[in-house]
Amino acid sequence: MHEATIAQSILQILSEKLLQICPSGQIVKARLLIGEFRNIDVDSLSFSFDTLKKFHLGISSCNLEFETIPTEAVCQKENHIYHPTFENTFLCEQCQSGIGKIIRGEELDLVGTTILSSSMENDQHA
Amino acid sequence: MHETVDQHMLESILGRNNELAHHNREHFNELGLVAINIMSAPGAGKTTLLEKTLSSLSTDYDCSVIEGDMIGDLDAKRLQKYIPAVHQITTGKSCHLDAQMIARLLHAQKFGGTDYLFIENVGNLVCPAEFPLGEHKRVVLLSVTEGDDKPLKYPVIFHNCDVVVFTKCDLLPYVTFNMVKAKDSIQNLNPKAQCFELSVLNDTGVDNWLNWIKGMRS
Ligand SMILES: Nc1nc2c(ncn2[C@@H]2O[C@H](COP(=O)(O)OP(=O)(O)OP(=O)(O)O)[C@@H](O)[C@H]2O)c(=O)[nH]1
Ligand SMILES: [Mg+2]
Ligand SMILES: [Zn+2]
Repeated sequence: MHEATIAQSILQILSEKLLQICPSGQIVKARLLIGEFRNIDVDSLSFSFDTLKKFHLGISSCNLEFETIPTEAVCQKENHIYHPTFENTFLCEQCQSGIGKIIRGEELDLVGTTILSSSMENDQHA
Repeated sequence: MHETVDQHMLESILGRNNELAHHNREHFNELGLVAINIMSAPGAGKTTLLEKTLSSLSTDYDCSVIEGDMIGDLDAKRLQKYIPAVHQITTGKSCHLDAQMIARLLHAQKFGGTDYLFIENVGNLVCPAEFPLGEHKRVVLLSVTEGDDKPLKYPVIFHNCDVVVFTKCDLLPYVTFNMVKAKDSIQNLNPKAQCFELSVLNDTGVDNWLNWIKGMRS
């Protein structure tokens, strides 16, 4: 599954950030935005991340926090903004047309971290 | 201990892949070639369609193939009967090609003079959708034996493609595949997608596909 590749990418970004900001610190939390219209299974991503993080100094106790962003699209016919889902066969409830453009729900971003460090080093960079 | 909370970062998790895809695209453009990423579920007929495509195009155009498989080089060997420039990428445990794999190959091999670069992705309707390679066109194959519900079940890949090719249409009389329903679903997910119906076995509909490819260089 590609969630392992994505977990690796997250670990790489976090490692680089730690090195930049506070090499002797610990990242204890990382916040992610995951769009609903992405092929990302959050459980499988968590599992991969937790398996791999043990091998990364300063990240081994990091917990992931997820926010799922619902899909929002502009419909093809009338420019209605709607929530396309499997249940509505991705059709706009108002005019029964399909997806014209997706405006939200394709996110896959790292948007926050919490780092613990000895205050000295951190103060230099704060 | 001191706690530093950063709530203002915004970093794309697959940003590195997307940068490399952009880099690959620059290479493709410098080389003057058209790169086509071919994706589908396992066995939908990617290699068979490429065999047919190469047998027809390679007399007039310089073609190369990047063949992505988790294991082995069976498909590469099939295609080497038509052209010498078939480059195998064995992905191991990974269920998709990514931009870095393509970048490595672009840096290691010579693609000068190539008109068309066909990239056969690993058979999978989920993972390849998440990893752009820098290709100019994204093609998804859907064989009629897979069922007309697949666009609804794998909306991301059908939303993010330029072309859908319905393959194995010679088998339509034997399966309950509703072509109208399948095309409607695709249209609802991706109004810009162009659809082709073909059978390599019967040699029907292949010309439209070949003309679409040739159209990109004329
Ligand atoms: N009836 C029929 N069978 C076809 C057609 N095209 C391909 N096949 C058969 O479908 C099977 C799979 O074809 P491949 O071309 O190997 O499929 P693929 O997508 O490359 O498979 P992977 O690379 O393993 O994912 C083979 O047995 C082909 O002979 C067609 O037009 N009609
Ligand atoms: Mg194949
Ligand atoms: Zn509408």
